[in-house]
Amino acid sequence: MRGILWTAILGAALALAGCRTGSPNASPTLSEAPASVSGFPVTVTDASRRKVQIPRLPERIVSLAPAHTETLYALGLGEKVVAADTYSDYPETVKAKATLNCWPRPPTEQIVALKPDLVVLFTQGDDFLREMDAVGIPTVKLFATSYAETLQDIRTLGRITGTTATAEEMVRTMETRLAAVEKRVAGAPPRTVMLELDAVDPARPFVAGGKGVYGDLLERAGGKNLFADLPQPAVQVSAEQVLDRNPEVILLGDTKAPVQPQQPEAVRSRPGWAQIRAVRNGEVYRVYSERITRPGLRLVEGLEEIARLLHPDRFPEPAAVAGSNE
Amino acid sequence: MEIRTEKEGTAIPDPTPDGARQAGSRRRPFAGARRLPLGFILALLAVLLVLSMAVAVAVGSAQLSTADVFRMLLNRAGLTRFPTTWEPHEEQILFALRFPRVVAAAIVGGCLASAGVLLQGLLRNPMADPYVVGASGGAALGAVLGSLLGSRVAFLGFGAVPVLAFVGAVGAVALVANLASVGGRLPIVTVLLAGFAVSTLLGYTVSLLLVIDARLQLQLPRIYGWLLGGISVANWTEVSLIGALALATFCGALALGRSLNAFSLGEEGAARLGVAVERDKRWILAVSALLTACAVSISGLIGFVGLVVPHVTRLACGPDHRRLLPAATLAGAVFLVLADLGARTMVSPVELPVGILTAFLGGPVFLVLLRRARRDYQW
Amino acid sequence: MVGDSPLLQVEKLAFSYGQGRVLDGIDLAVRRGERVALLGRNGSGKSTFLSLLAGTLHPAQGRIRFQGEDLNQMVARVRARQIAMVPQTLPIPFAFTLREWISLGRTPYLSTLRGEREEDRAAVRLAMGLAQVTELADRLVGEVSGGERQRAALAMALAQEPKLLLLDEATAHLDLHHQVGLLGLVQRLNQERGLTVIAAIHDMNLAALWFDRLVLLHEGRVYADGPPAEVLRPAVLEPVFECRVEVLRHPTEGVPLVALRRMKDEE
Repeated sequence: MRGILWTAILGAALALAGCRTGSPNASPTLSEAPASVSGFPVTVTDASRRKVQIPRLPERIVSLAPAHTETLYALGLGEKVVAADTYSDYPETVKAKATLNCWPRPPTEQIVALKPDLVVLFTQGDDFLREMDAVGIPTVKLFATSYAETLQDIRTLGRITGTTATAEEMVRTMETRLAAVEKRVAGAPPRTVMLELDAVDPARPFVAGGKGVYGDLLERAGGKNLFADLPQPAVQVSAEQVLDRNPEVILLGDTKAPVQPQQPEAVRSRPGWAQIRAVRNGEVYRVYSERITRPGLRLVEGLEEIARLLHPDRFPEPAAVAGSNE
Repeated sequence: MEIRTEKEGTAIPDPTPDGARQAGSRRRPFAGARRLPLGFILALLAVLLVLSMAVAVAVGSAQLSTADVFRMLLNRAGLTRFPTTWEPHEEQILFALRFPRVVAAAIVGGCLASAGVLLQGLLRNPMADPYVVGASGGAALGAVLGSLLGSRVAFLGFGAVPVLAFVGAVGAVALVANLASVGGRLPIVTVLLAGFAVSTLLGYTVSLLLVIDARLQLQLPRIYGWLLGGISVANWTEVSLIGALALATFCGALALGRSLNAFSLGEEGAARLGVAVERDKRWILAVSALLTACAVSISGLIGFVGLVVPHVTRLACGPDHRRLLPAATLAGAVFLVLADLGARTMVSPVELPVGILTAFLGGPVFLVLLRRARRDYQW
Repeated sequence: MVGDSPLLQVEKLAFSYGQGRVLDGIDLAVRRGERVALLGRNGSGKSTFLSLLAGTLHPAQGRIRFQGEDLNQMVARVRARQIAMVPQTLPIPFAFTLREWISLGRTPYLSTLRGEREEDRAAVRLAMGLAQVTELADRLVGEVSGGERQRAALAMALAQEPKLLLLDEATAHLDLHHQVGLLGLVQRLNQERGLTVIAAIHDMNLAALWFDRLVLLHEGRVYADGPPAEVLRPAVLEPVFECRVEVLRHPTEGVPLVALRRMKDEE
């Protein structure tokens, strides 16, 4: 009887579990030297290690990842985005176009019917890529696992959409702001920090591991990731380990989770957690998860937010970005 | 002449071929036709349970010194007053996290094994496990709905998932019993088929919910983990409440041992021996549903325990349910305490779903026993 | 009065499965210590009748009195201490030893939680001795021969310490040796211990040799009832079984011996 239940759910669950814990792919690299803005066709090697050629300047773009949607809009391509996945919710204007339900599989027929000349995606698997290749729609997978790779992906998006200059400017801004943060936290003793991504089962929360964007952010913001030794980007750990490793700061990325959002008070009432330094010293903070889990433009805001929470003494002025810790 | 005709009259052949019979009589049956005394078996298993629980409390994901663990335990029991040489958080790890979890694992293992014994006995089907009459589908649906309700609903300090998983398991079995009922009777084949159908339907209802509800999609790793099973208790209240309920239900199960034995003769055979067949069938279903529900509310769906532990115990102590029930319950508790220990420590600090461990530990053991029997498996 | 009243009194007993009426007004009285064979064609209701007596079926009409008490009103466990049955076959789903299996016969005597007491063990020992399966006590039920298993089934019934023993084609799957063994054993139990026996049996010659009263069921009623010499006559058998028979006399036992004749085509 369990067998049936399994077949019913397991495949789908694996798809997503794989995304959350799967090993990071190689970051995309440009396969040819930067050329002029109108230098199409452009060929890139993407995160699936495919060489993808974009023959003309794309006019109809489909984005299957909130991070890429944000970047495309920031590159001024909002008009060209014809549709996005249902999780794309930023900026506000994209919501009307966020119609593609990509779970458990992207709606291939719907996407083809939109006649896109570029599809960008984050996590979808090889079978989807094969289908898109078969119908001849240029499809680029960008899967950043660090701050640096995120910058690379923004550059790539610029190149394949003919907005190299804007992309370079964005990247420069992000590099500048990163440098500013790193300068501020420089020399400060790194603080042990746990980033909790989901704690529906507090006996074994999902936390940021060593590989992945969030783990990278923690270190760059002057923190010492409590679970940096684990090779996964996000990983389910035993609560015993949390107590034993005893973090100075706990960041809650799941305070806005649609199901069982966690709050600092809830963390205090978990069995045994009141002992943890972060809980004792009131250093359990909410973080705005979209800024730290989406490898896009706003990642730098997440970085600044974390740095500010970890080292408030290095940021005496009030936060410039509103809503960072609401 | 007449006598000759009678002698040569049709004799229906002996149902057991001579060869097989002789092979059987020459070879000592593995199960050991001589049974060990029940007291010995139970005492042995109880000692094993205490030992395995002691190890499971002493060893975990976090490294606590064994000496400290036992000092803390003795202090907590009020027997000693060792000076506090350990960190406060170590005491928290022991008493808030590890100890309730070990107790919960024992409860879950016992519940699943005894429910397996009850359903294998009632359905006289070697493939029967605690989930065979719909409990898994109901529990999964309950758990998923509980995930949606989230922390808005809490019951005595534990969340909606365990409560609704419990309700779902019991509700699904009640539904199956209701659907399978024909003119006040509950034919076994109908129960099995209705259980299959209801379980499948509920399982795919869960899939449907997962596909159409975006909030649940974010929960997939969690739901996936729940399906693989994992011991998770909110607090001692939950452990003691479920433990008390499980214990009371188990006593009810013991009272059904006599009827279960009679059921091995088929329903008519049981009726001839004065068993109230229909009444006891419903009792067995109800008791097994409650035991399964106790287990799933703590641990999600852990496979294998309820299927294999009854078989292994039966090989060791015989099929008499009055012996089998307490023995399998203790054996199930030992087994799951050890499996959970493995789940917590094998790839620490990451946790494995305990269902993977039960399959990896239980499968080979069972296969070895099957092979060693070296004859048609008689269960 | 009690002593004179029949052990079993069946009055106007009727039973049907769905549309088909199987029993249609059976009247029968069986005294203590009788040895009764039920004869009849396939589907004549022999098994149904025994199931009604064993309490696994309930009469649609009519009444069964056992020791003056309505069988249908009796508590099942009390009934099971008085009436036991050996069926043609029993399922063997578990690896019981013969002793454990036979002990199932004590079910109606066991209290809910307590195990077997000494008197239960004694009854099982006695039953095993009577059925001659004592040496097989520790063997598994699935590993003994058909004949041995059927003797064990008899032992299980005897462990119920019944006053009335029902046999439903209990010898059907046995070879001649085991048939003779089992029926001889039943006869001895009847003669030595006063056990009342009602046995559904196909083989009329076996019935004639080991039973002193034959009851022939036909079309849901008792068609003939009497000692073998009265029932086993061509005039009785031929219309019921719709075939030609010769009834001889057993050269040594003196009972009737039924022999078949080939059908009309040779006449």
